Amino acid sequence: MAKQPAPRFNLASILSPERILILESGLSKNTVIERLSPLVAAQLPDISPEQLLGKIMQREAGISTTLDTGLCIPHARLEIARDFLGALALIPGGIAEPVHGGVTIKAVFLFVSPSDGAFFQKHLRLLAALSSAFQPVFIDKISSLSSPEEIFAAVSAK
Amino acid sequence: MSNSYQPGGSMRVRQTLVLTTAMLTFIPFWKAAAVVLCDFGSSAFYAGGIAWQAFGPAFPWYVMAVMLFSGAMLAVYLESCAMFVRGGVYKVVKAGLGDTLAKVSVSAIMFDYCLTGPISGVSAGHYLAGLLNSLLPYADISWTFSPNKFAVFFALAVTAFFWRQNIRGVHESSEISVGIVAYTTVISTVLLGWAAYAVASSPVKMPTFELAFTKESLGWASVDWLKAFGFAGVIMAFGHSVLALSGLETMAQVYREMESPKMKNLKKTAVSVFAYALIFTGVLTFLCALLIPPASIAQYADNMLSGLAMSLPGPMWSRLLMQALVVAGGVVMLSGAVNTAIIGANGVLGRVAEDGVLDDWFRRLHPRYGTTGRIINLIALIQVVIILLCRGDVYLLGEAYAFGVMWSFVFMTLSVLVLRFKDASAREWMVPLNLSAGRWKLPLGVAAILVVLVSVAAMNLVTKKAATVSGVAFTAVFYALFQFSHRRARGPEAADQPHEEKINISKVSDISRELEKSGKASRILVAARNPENLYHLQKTLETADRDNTDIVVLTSRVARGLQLGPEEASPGAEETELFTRVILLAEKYGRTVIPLFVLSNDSFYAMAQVACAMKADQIVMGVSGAHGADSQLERLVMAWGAVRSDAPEKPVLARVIWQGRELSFELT
Repeated sequence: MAKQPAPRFNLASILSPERILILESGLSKNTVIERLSPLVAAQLPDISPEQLLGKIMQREAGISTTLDTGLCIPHARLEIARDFLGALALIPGGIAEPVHGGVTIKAVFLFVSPSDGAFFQKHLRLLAALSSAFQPVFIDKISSLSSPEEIFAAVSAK
Repeated sequence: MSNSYQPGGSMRVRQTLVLTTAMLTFIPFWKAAAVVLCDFGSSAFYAGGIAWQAFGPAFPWYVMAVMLFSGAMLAVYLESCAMFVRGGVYKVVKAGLGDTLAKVSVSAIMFDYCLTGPISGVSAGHYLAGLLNSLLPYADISWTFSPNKFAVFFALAVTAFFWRQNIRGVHESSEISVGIVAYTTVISTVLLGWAAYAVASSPVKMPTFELAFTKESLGWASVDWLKAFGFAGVIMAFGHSVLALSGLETMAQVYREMESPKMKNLKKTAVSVFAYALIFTGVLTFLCALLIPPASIAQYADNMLSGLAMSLPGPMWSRLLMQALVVAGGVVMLSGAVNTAIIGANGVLGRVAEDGVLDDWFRRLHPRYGTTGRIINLIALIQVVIILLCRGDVYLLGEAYAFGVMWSFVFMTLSVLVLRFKDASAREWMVPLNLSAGRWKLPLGVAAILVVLVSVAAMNLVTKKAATVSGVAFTAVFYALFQFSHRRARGPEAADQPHEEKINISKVSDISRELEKSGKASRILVAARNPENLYHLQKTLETADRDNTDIVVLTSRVARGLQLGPEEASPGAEETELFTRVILLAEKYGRTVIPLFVLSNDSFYAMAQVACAMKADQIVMGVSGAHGADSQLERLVMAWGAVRSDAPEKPVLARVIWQGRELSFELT
């Protein structure tokens, strides 16, 4: 019997309109991450925004999480996380990626996942789903929307 | 995969280059055996005649003894190949006895190779001239060919043909060798069958053991005191027959190109070569002694198997037909030996050049065919000069011939013996007869072989004037060339540096189309960056299905932002070092790999894009010490998602492999 493919990750299940920001240009990538971290940390019982930011920055210091499609996916795998949780920032005017010269970031999707090894495959599926969903056309489309609710609806429909 | 360059925000691959080297295709054991036999087996056509001219009617016993001894030498070569994939006399002697003797031994083996081509070509010319001179009277033509002049002309033509073939690539040449050996096998089987019938149907007299040396064949040994030692004559006669051993070095040279499982295939090659040579050279030479009337044997000294054909029972037309078939077999096999001599000498000089002993100029690859054209040109030139100088005299060439083969065997066997003590690590195969004594294993088998070789080589120095004078002179000249070239090119310390593979590059626009040429259903992309971290490639080479899988090794140079301009990329020193290690591993496992070099500003994008373009089934990475397997898979997954609009429908397994562990994810 042929192996069944793993189910596609439902992005809307880890996002909510309250955790979607529309930001102006001129910010740095780190500032965007600093703005998103408290939104996720508020949903986790035992971690402060600073601690979460530290974990995410630690991962950011490793292999790049920026793609040339205009998406950046900062993330952290946490022992205290029981499930996946994300927050999205859109920057319609774009900000410069500091490492990859010339790449413009227009969307930052920050998320946390459980560090338990059993969740690693799902963690990778989420990364795959985000990177394939947030192509330039889709990013431009949701960047033109005016409210977090509309953006959430668009992401849910993806 | 698109090669278009998007300035600014792209992380995509801009340019894809396929790296090629002189030898990246691997051959099965029977092709390797054919290449070796074209040289080693061809001596059946002249060894008996030369031995007969040297010491008379006892020649078949000694040719048979030499063929039996070839089993021992094949064993020595097997053990040496178990230690060195790119082996042969130079590498083994260098490891065992040091740089100077390695240069001496490789100079000696070059003498052997440089004579193999001419003696084979000239001998083939004699066979052909003999046939034509037999046939012309039946056409009422009274004119005859001068055998020596005809032989020179023919040898030059054959050398030119195989020079061209080798310039075009070894793969095509090994195909020719297979055809030659197949044809010669059919002819020799018919000849053997007919001759066996002749022996069975009429009484024959067994050849005598009595030795009848000529003054010429005794050389400087024609003194009374030596005659007192009866056994000395046996060694002398063996020494005059030992030229039949020439060609075994070729086995070490083709080992590099042998497909996996390499050692198992090498053993099959050795057994095939031994059996074939024993029957073809040993038994046929014996049948010549039994069936050619003593009064006629001088007439056939330069084409003895023609003499056997003409001495068979049956009507004249059938004997002439058999002679024609034998000559055709002889011509193609001896011509094959010319080819093998070029291949072997090219391999030997290649090893020397890799080590910095021969100027890098010689290693430049042919721009179109990727072969070491300059080395091949040098070998062919030397052979042409020897053909012209010998003026068609097979005996003269035969007398000179044994010097190189004997002294290279002496150094090789001594080195294998020394290496038993210098490097006591386990070998995949060892020469038998090893006596355990405490923590040591005394290599009695190797030592016995060495005693025989030293005795014969020393005796040949005295008895074979032509061999000693020309061999010493040639070896000295080549040794001086190596010394001069070594010092001029890099300095004496260069020999200790690891060699770098010479590579050609060719730009590809569609990697998938390139791979379709192989016709294999499965494709694995192996990413490689650090030459010290190729465990994952090793595992892939070990486990991937040989018949149905292409293995592409991807090396990407990461350049950021503005550095990634529109200029042409070419592999630098780092990529060359990596590529060299990849090729050595591929050779070790006998698996073909397709090395790709890309310029990108993100190596994971490069992997994803190339995997999409080549319709890969797997992407294999080694673990990065800086980042770890988890982060590597994360980045690959992200890059895959970003480029997946180009992706094939089938899932692709992404694997990170390191010592004893593996992390994987199915990309869809």
